[in-house]
Amino acid sequence: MDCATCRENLSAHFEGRLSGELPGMEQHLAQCPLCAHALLGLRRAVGALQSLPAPEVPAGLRARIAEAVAAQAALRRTPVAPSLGAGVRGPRYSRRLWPGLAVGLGVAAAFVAGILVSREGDAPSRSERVALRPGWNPGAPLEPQDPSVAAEPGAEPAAPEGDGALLPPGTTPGLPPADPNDPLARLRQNFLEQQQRREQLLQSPGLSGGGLSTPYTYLPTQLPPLSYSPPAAYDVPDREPPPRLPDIPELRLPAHGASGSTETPALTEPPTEAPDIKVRPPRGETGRSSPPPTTFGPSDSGPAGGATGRGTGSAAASAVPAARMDFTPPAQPVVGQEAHAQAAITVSSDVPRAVVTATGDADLKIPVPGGRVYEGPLQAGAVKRIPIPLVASAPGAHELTITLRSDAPGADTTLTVQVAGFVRAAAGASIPAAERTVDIVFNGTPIRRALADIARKTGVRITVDESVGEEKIRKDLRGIPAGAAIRAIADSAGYAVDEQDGVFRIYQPQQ
Amino acid sequence: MGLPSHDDLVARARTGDRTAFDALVNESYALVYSTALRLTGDPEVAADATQDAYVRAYNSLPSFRGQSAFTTWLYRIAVNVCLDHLRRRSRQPRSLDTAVTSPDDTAPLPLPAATQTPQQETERRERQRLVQEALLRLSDEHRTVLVLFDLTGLTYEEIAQVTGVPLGTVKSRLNRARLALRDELGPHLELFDPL
Repeated sequence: MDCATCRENLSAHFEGRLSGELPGMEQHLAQCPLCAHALLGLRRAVGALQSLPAPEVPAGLRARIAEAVAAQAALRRTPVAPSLGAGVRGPRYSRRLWPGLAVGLGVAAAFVAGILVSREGDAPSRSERVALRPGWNPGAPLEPQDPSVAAEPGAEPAAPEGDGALLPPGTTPGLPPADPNDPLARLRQNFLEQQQRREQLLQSPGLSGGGLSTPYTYLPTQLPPLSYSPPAAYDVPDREPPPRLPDIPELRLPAHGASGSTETPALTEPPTEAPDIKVRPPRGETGRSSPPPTTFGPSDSGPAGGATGRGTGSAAASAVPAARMDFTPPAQPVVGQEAHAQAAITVSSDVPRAVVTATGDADLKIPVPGGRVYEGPLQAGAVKRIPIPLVASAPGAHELTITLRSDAPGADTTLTVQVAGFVRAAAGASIPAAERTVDIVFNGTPIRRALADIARKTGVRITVDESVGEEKIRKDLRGIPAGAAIRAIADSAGYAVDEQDGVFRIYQPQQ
Repeated sequence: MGLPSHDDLVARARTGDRTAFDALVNESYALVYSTALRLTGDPEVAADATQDAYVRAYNSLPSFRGQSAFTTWLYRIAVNVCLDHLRRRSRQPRSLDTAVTSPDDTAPLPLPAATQTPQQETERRERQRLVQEALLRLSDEHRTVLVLFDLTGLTYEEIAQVTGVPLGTVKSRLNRARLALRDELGPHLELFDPL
């Protein structure tokens, strides 16, 4: 699998949606530090989103909504001529009623959402707002049907259309029976007249796009499409494709092994750009010799620390075969726990029997008899990855020596590295899963996903019965241990929780 | 007789029952507001959008045939209103000062959480501000799928219906959006635990 495909499927992998469809994915993530790093970044990004709290809803919003809806209902009770687009028009009002419009606005403002017109640059104070600020596109006040949302999601085929115009363009909404005493009727007439005038203006040939783009509130027939219009080509990537791994023939990037105890590769930082340092003994030297040990100090590593020791030892220049050894340090190693490093060995020609031994310092042990981490053949051209378990009894950096010995002259290699970054077990490392804090705020997340997030975050195991549905969870679980969080979530949705051997089961209780 | 179910309310609201509609508003307005807020970054704008969405929904109830869930339909309206506002506003210069940075942005905690020191509180608010600002720097399309999926909690299907975008596109867009948010957070990414 290549990096581009891996990146495309990171979310699917993270959410557990792949279910075996892409078997190469795990392997790629184990071997590709860039993609592993991308996955970690994606997980952090989702964590960042989950850390956003439920915002406080402004006081009075509920009341404002109720008022606006009530105003709409009041308008709709006003009789409206039944035929749409019949072109029925009431008596024309002369232009001198324009000032009347301005006066009537005071009345209209008390009634509703949006027969408001603002001049360019006018921003009325917010306190004047009853319904909406001018400049905000209003709901259509005159029509019971609002075609701006006419296309109901389920009915519509996938192709998004602009379902914007409140009315099919060109129709005139029916007018209420003319009642000269009704101020609203006059306003409506004026409004419609004004709108027809605008329509004519807009259609006149001299005016193109920029001409009449006023900050007008939207008149019903000219509401721009409100549908969500995705870009035309769905496949257009919004970002550049992920960088390709450098293609340097003589440089083989070290493979980064997964530690095996976590679900994702333990790598927490990208590889440094520094090329591998090859150490060769001076020319002309024959016979078996070990090159001077190469030791590397800590590199500028990321938060996990501990990344050092990429190195290569190679055999005497004159002898064949040559061996090359690359070391991958463990990520986030913890004192007293088995950490996993890896040595990757390549030989230029077959070595029938090789023995690889690892030795630590006073505070670093290799829990393998005799430190023999590998014994067997080495094939030319193939990379032999040898896991090296490490257990440190003190924090900090420790020296590790890896030795390759074989019958093949010249292939023997010794590599000494500093393995840094051993830390004492943090509280989180040894706390049982059910007691780890969740630290997520759920804002309407479906219950199954909420539980999956908790499981992923804390490592607690949760079984969700099929009787569990899709209830939305709103809970602030910052600082709440996983067990309590699971129970709180289940309670809020009416489900029961069983816990056995650290596995939580959520189910619908029998009535 | 128990409380009416959500479906009962929707059925009644469609016949013009204002009380039923009001009950539906009660159920949903906080989350609609919160979606609008994370989408637009501005509490005033979000409040207007929420109000406008319900007015439009009320107006269009007669044409709501129930082929999608009521809340999906409602979110479609609300998201369209927000996006429309963003598109218009993008033609004018704006500052991020109106963005959600006010300190009293968070609701009171419904569960007793471990008490935090003032410094932890400050750090927490700072992290939230960083996330919201990074969100606002994303494209509208990216921010929409991110908010709807990872915050509002809609399913892929629902998001496809709300945005009018094919299901496969929703998934790939969400993936890219998450990676884009990662990029926008930049070095601050390390402040957040991976999920």
